Amino acid sequence: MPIHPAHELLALLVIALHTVMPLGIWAMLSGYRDSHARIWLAGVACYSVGFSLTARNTMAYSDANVILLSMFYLASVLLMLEALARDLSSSRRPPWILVACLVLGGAYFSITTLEGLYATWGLISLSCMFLLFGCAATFLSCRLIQHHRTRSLYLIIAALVLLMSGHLLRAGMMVGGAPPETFQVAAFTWNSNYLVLSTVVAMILMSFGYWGYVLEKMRLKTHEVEAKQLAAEMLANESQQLIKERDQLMMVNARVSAISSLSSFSAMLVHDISQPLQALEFGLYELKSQARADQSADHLLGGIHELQTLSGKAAEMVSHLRQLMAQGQDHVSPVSLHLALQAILPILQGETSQRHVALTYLCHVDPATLVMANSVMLQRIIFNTMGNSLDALTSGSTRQPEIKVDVLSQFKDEKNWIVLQIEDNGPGFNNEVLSQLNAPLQTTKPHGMGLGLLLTQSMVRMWDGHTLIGNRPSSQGTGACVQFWLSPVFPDKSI
Amino acid sequence: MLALVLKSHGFNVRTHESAEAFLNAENPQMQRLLILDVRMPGMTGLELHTRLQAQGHQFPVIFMSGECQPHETTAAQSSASVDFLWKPFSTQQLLQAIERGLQLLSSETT
Repeated sequence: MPIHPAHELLALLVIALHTVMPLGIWAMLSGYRDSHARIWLAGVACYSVGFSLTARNTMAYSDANVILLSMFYLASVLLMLEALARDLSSSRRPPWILVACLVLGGAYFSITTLEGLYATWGLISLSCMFLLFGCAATFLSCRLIQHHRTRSLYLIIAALVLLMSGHLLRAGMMVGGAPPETFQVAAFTWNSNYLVLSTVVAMILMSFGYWGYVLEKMRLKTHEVEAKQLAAEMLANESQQLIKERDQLMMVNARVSAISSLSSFSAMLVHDISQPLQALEFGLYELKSQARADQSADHLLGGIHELQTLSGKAAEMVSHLRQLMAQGQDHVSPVSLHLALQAILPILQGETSQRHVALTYLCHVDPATLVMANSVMLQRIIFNTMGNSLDALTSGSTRQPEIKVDVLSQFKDEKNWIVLQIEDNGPGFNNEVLSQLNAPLQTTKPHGMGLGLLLTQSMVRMWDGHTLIGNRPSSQGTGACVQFWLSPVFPDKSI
Repeated sequence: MLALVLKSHGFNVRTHESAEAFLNAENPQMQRLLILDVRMPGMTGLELHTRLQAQGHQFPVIFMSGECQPHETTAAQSSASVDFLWKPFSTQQLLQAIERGLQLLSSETT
């Protein structure tokens, strides 16, 4: 039977449209085609091939053509649903499900076609398949709208509704007994025309809708990336601020350290000058007594007196220096040990992590507990002690070096104490240092560890506390253990 | 030098290198005035004074110190029965303190 030219033209137009549309959308999404978009476009391409085969089938029917177009339709709906589902969540179905569906669907449509039932059950099955696809895709699109808030998805939903309406019409009418010929492209009946137009318009709407959706999705992603970049920049700024604050604290620490060194130097100076000055005073006094007794030595009295005056001035200077030092060291007040530690632990943690030393802090008492101390000097003492531990740990070959800081409550000598314990698993103190810690202040090197610990002991004693410096029990391995026993302040005594 | 000055003033002076040496050498029953340095090798002057007090010996004590740690000097000042002298002090100050200490000693003896 010869084909009417109008029929042929219509079929060619449908084929051309379904060739140009996917290619055009593919080209328009250049640069935006992520993996999900590629799956969707593959689905659209399969649909176009299927529809083109349908148009060709109206001109030259063959069973192979029918089986092929059915499989392309099936592949298209599966791919498009997969693309939407992946957009909704990152979970993906294994490819064998697609292959299994295609094999089963291909077998069904092959049997239906070869049994001569394509014009009835085959077409009804295809329409039912598109109805199911339309429902599932609409559901997924609605979920996507909740996630992405893109208006382009409404276009896809409209296309799906249009597609479902055409297939619902065909399935309904065919189940109702309408002859399949009335739905052929060339039949030019109202229902045939509606089906063709609805599917073609649906194709156009879906193509443009998805194009817009991808662009909006990319724009949202760009916004998210920009927001993340902004957050990262803010984080970087905060980090820089923290680093700056840390540097400032380290500067303060260095200054306190310098003051501390100066203080220790002054202490030594006062102590060491006072001894020879005292001897000089006694010597001059004795000399003066002898000179007075011996009249032949009268001429020496003036010189001795002058020397006594000078010695007295030097003694006054030492006294002033001592007073100044005493004024600078007696700012003792209730201090929260926990808060004092919290303020400096971030700095120490930075230092320990840089040196690959583990640092743990445990407060076994009420964090609000107060002790009598000078907060600046207390922090300085902790810095010094932990600095000693860090030096000992990093200079040796300690495996898994660690420093433990504990705040404990202890009862000793009929008194409650708050104990700050700092211990490490380094080599520990050698006997020489430990013996020096109980000896009087010596005029040794001004920057030695022993001297720092001596000053620490003195400082803690000023706060009515005491220091226990030693090594960990041998059963726990090597390591130094320094304990600061501080007097707690009860709430009614706090200021 | 201190012993030399005091001897020249007619005092009977006995010196010891440390608190332990004093405890080993001296008869604690004998009345005397003690001049103690706060810091000494081994037992401190404060500790020696505390031990003697614990043994029931109430000797008049003059403390002297060249240190500048307030916690030690405060304790010495509070426990010194005669005087506390910061080094360097004048010989006159020491002699005056000794005089007061001896008066205290004699009043305790009578």
